[in-house]
Amino acid sequence: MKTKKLNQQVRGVLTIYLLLILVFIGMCISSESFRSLYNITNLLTQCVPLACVAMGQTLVIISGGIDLSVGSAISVCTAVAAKLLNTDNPAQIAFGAAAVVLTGVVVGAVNGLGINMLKVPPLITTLCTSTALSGVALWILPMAGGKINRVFARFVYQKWTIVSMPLLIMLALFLIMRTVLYHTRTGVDIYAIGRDRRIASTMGVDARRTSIKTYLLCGLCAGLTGLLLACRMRVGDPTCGTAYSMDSITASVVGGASMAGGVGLLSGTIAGAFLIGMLSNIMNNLAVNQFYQYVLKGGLLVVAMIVYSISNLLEVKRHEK
Amino acid sequence: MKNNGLRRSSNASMQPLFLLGIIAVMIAMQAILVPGSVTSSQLWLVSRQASALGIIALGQAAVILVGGIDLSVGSIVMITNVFCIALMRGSNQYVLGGLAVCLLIALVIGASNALGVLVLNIAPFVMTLCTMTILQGVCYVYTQGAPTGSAAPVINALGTGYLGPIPYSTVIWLVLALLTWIVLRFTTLGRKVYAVGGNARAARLSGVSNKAVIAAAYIFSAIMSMIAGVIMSGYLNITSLTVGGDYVNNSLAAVLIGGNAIEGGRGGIWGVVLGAFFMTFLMAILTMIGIGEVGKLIVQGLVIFVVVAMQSMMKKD
Amino acid sequence: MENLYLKMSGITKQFPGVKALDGVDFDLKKGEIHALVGENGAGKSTLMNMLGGNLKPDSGMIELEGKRVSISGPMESLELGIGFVHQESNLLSNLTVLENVFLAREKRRHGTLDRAAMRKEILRVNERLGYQLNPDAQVGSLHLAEQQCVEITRALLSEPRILILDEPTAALDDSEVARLFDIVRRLRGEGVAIIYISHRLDEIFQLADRITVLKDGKVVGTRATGEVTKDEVIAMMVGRVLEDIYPKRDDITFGDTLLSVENLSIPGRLSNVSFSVRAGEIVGLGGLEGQGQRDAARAIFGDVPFAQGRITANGLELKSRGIRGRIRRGVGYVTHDRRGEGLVLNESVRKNAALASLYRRSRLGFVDAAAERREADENVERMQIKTAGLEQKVANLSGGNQQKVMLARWLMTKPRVLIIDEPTKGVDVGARMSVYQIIDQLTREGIGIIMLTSDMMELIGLSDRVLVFYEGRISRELKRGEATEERIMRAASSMPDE
Repeated sequence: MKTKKLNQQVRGVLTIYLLLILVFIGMCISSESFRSLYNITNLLTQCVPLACVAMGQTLVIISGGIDLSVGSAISVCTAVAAKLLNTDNPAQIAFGAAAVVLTGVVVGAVNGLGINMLKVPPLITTLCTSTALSGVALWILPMAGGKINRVFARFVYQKWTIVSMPLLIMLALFLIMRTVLYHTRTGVDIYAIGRDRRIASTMGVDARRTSIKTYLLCGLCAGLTGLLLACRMRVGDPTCGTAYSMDSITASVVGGASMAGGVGLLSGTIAGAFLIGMLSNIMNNLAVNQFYQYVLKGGLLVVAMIVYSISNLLEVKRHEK
Repeated sequence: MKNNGLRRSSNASMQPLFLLGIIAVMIAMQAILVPGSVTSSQLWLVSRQASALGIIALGQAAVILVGGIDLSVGSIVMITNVFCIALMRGSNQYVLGGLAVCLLIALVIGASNALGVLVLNIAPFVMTLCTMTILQGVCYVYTQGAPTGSAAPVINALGTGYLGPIPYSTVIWLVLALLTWIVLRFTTLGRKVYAVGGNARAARLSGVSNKAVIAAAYIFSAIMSMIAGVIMSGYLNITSLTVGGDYVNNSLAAVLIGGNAIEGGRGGIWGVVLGAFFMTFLMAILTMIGIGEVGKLIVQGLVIFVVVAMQSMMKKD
Repeated sequence: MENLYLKMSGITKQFPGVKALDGVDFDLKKGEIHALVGENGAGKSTLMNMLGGNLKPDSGMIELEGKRVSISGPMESLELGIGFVHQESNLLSNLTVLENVFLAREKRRHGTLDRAAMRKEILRVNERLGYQLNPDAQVGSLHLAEQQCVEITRALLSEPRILILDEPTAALDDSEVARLFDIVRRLRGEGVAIIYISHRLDEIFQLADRITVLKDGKVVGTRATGEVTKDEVIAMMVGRVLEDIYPKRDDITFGDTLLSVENLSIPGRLSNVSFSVRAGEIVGLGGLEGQGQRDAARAIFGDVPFAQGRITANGLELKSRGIRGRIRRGVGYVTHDRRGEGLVLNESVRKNAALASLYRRSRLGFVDAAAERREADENVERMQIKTAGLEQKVANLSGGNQQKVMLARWLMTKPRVLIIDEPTKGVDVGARMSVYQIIDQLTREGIGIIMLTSDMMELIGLSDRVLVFYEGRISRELKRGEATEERIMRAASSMPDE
């Protein structure tokens, strides 16, 4: 009885993993090209950028906010990468990579300050930064181009069998974010302000600071994602991030994060990201028109919201009985 | 307390006039920057460019008045554009049928937005974001990413023709604005819209069926976007998969600059009309002085942010 | 006195229109349970909120162990050793017990949370107070009684010297109450000073060492529990003369039954409530807060669905839901929360007044502006609403005038039965009288009134019939003349008459 609620959430995440595995096994059985080690390695690597940015989005959603600017932030970061990583000097590359990630953090800072200091609703703030940043990306890099140092890009994107460098980077990011969210004061505060900012404040939580921190971390994730994408493409692309705003929200919601705030798990988000990634891989594999992916993603988000709202209703009903 | 309230109320009603002043200043600036460029026909041209945005902003304003937000407006323009051109096949004889289908599509989209928000309790921006993505997908799938065809002559005339010195599309825009204004100002529905946005509980306890009013706003918004889509089809005379691009941001900007509050319940229609004109004119001037797409995007973002930040600061004291 | 922990002297607090506290003295000794009693609105919460750091006194002094302190916020109050267990749950339901207890004060080791140490701490408190909280259970899944234990644990964490319990038993059943008492006594044994606020005199006499009675923002007296009887305490809490601000209503004759309620039930909130209202009658629903009066009113108005029962208005049965239908049948509801769910604050007096009766003046969907202005004007005139004009924003009016706008809204619907929830909440004394006169006048025109109020004087002064609610039932019906404060108080806490 007492730990039921927590179990319910974990159960939800397990259900998604189960679904993930079922789809995976089903595809492995039915499609020969799918079950090749090459494709599986590729598939896992493909999902990494979305998983990284979605972790940041999840933090923001848990804290009761939303970040629609991650997509444009990623675009800007790849553009910055294309400008700074076109060099053979290792020191310059290190500096450039740091600058790319820092760009994401700066975007997060702007969002966090706008929302908490100027009191502009998260939706509006991040919509505005999203628009402005898509301009900035075009300003830095009018069209896809530039160059990323090949050695560096190859290093970041090297693949072995099943395991790949991006996957390891994602794992490291997951461990860091997990520590922040479950093992520090900030983590508890994030859940607290997400449920009720006022009550959390009366209990001594500094709501503003916590909220700003979530946007900073989200910006960090976006920056890292930008770097990964730049290394994958080996060029910068001022529009490559566009889909990630929506997709990261979908991944979070599919993974069990509630748009009302206060609820969500990082492991769920990762599962959500992999589910989305796998479905698009399957569609490519089955040679489905790629444009159906738009329909799929929008539909997936709506379906996830409906499923969760129904299961919550059932839970409440059972509670009453 | 008392004085603040009075000051705020006068602020809200002053905003359209203030905006008119700014537009006058902008015209003057343009005259100085590019001598001889300001003519009445140029201003009518700007109004034609503004008309699609202006019509969309009317719908956006209604949704924001009831406390929601509609991010699907741009994609409705896009899907209307796709079907308007595809169904009419460049011939006048299919115009009525095509328009009927477009209207039906708009009704379905508006109703599903309302359904998601009211019945499934999905946050308005998430619901309309989903609608947006799905519609984009439908457009790409339907056209296979490479649309062809041209608009029926009647629609083309609608988008490009003139009534005396005034473009048809401007006439349509202003007539729709007038109708919207009349509904908001003189009908019981208008009263209910403001009441629901201002205090939903109070409206409910006074016998207003909030859900019907909110649903009406989403459906109205979808229809306005559809009309804008038809006009844009006539203007462009082709299907463009980027036609919907800026409308979400610009319609929000137009509504907020027009003095409407983001949290709903406050604002009028003429401010929104001026807001749409302002945004278009601003973009035109930016183009004229050589600031491209980049500057426009940044300006769009900044304008909305600054306006809402000012609103929230005024609320504080 | 060396073991005097807390001394509050001359505490005064003025709210707009009301003097909530007037020169209150209160003290607290080490290891005692000091009960604070009084009617709703006597000033108990205001006084305690000053200790909790939520309010500041206008004048007066708070001393802790002889040192003068000023408490500027909830966290500071906690640091000073004052623990506050609120009446309504003040916890975050998505966090675990452990996280709630330690929120913003977590124990850490090497920068990360030291859950093991915190768990141990909670188990220690568990043992000390004899309850069993699972530190890792989510608070949302706990019963109210368990949530209260979480609040107590949180309050105890900083080893408080003072613990305030505000209506702690309101939501508990008998066995839970017994457990709570056990905990409170243990704390007293450890030397914690406890301020215990309750309406339930039985409990207070079981538990408290001293009792302080507040009335109208003043201290009536402080007594040791052994030196007084319950009856004496009740006499201290009431015992006022009816002021002369209520209209004389002896000459009224009642007409036909306008609305009748039979066996109205909402699971967990209302059971088998039956009553009726006649033309010209004021039926007052009284009792302690949250005993089902408001649920009954809202079910009648169609805002809250009801499981069982029949509501008949003008001979026609009303369905479980549907506010519009009620309004058209002539039933109106003036809410208690004027700003939250009554007025559209940024709209004008005229639009607010017209809101509920738009359909009456609708011509093909258009508002008949002339009729609206005329009717609004008549009502503003009649209610003597002080406003710069019909186009004035209601946000700029005083509380009393806002309340009159609410009344005007409902009069414009031409009601037969009007439910008025807290007719004079946040209304200053002058405007109160005119609200009473308006209500009196309405009944003389044949309108039946159902009035909900937590103001005892108002209930007695205005009602022709008082229905006292207790735990979702009508525990007593008293006619004008029979209704005295003592009888109502007894019925409200389910004690038999003397």
